[in-house]
Amino acid sequence: MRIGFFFGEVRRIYKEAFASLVFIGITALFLSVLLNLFIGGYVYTNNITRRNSGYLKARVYLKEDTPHALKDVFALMLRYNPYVDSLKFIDKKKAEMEFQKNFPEFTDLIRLFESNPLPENYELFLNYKLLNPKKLGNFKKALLNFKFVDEVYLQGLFVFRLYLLEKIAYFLLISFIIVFFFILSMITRGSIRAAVEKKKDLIKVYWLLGGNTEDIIGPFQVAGLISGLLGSIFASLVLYLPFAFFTVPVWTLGIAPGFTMFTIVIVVREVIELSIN
Amino acid sequence: MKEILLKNVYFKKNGRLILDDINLEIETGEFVFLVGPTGAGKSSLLKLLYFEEYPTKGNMSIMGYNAKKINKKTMLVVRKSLGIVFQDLRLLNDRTAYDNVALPLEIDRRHDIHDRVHDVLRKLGILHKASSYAHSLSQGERQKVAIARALVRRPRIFIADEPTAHIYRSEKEGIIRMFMELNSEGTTCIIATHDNNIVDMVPYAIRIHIEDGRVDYL
Repeated sequence: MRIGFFFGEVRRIYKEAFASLVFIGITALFLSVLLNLFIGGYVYTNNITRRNSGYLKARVYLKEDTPHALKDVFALMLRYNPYVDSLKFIDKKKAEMEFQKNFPEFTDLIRLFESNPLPENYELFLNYKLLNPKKLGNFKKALLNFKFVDEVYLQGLFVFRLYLLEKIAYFLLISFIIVFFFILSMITRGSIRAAVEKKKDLIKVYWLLGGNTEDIIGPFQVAGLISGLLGSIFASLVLYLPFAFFTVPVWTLGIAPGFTMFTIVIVVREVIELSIN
Repeated sequence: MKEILLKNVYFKKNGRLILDDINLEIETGEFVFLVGPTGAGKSSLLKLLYFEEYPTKGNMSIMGYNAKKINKKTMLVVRKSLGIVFQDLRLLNDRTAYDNVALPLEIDRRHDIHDRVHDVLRKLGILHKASSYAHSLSQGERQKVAIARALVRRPRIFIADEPTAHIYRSEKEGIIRMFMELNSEGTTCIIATHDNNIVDMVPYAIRIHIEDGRVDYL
């Protein structure tokens, strides 16, 4: 087939589809803004959670005169515990420095004692994704079962609430993406069906004159690819806004154009084959 | 060689029997008129011949291809050998006369489109309308464009449904002469009409009378 004829068809299809472009444009903008809200919500909560995840900590205070060998074995056990991301041993000297840093007004108080009264302890940085308040309570109980453990203090429990919020935002985002693509394919199907309906005479005549399916579908698919590309570039530009403010992998921007173009190619084939048969 | 063969063909549409036990043999190069009153089944018979419809019962073969066994690819080959003037013309209104006539050649991916289209439009006397859009043409001109589209391919089988219905009496003879010329080059011509004047213009033509879906050779 002559290239000119082929692109002539694409041009004609475009001319007819132009009327519905305004509608599609407004819908795309609306959907993109909605999608932005969800992506923004997820990224925002994710960032806050990540920023605060370091605060889920446990301080495990050891009793006086705990033997070194026992401390080493205990540290090893903690390192292999899946809930523990990392741990830091705070000896008496470090504990004093920490105390002086946090409570400078009480520095003189320690000097009243003959020896440093501050206990040795382990600072545990916990994995908030594997834990929940109940598991954390059990973890604390398990630590207190060791005879040489004097006390366990937990810090940063609010990260659980953040993580819950993040999970809700993520769930909403995924749900919306599914609905988004469903709506997108419905709109695409509708607009292409309208374009094909207008071209029904051409398709029928083409078919009766011996044109094959590929020749008939080709221009529609090219038009679909161009629409998909233009539409998704537009959508991607709008989508870029939250990405510009938050840290998200850039490759995710490619999902929308790829998916849109793929959807259009599939839908075009389906609609035209329906129209022929 | 039998170009078209129908054996005990029945055709039903919407529960109504339209063709009733049709037996028909058309040899290569024959000129055939299908005559009969409106609603007799002429158009339905032609639709079977270019595979727009399929027989409900019976055997039909076109150019040696059996309608029951024909696949999509072969059907396209058969259709490319046909020149069809549809009863409702089926012109593309958003295109010029030239584009309409060029369509079959575009499908065939031919390189001599311009010469062929101009040649056939000149013969039909509508070359000056080549760049006019189909919707702006008169009914007679539209009919000529439809005929040109069927002839431009130089088909092996020419099928026309009432091709002169909207053409002035003075021009009908010229058009029939074109069909005869095409026929003399070996094309099988099958023309459905209820216009006895054009039937009389081709003395050697075979006349097949259809009435109430049944066939009689005259």
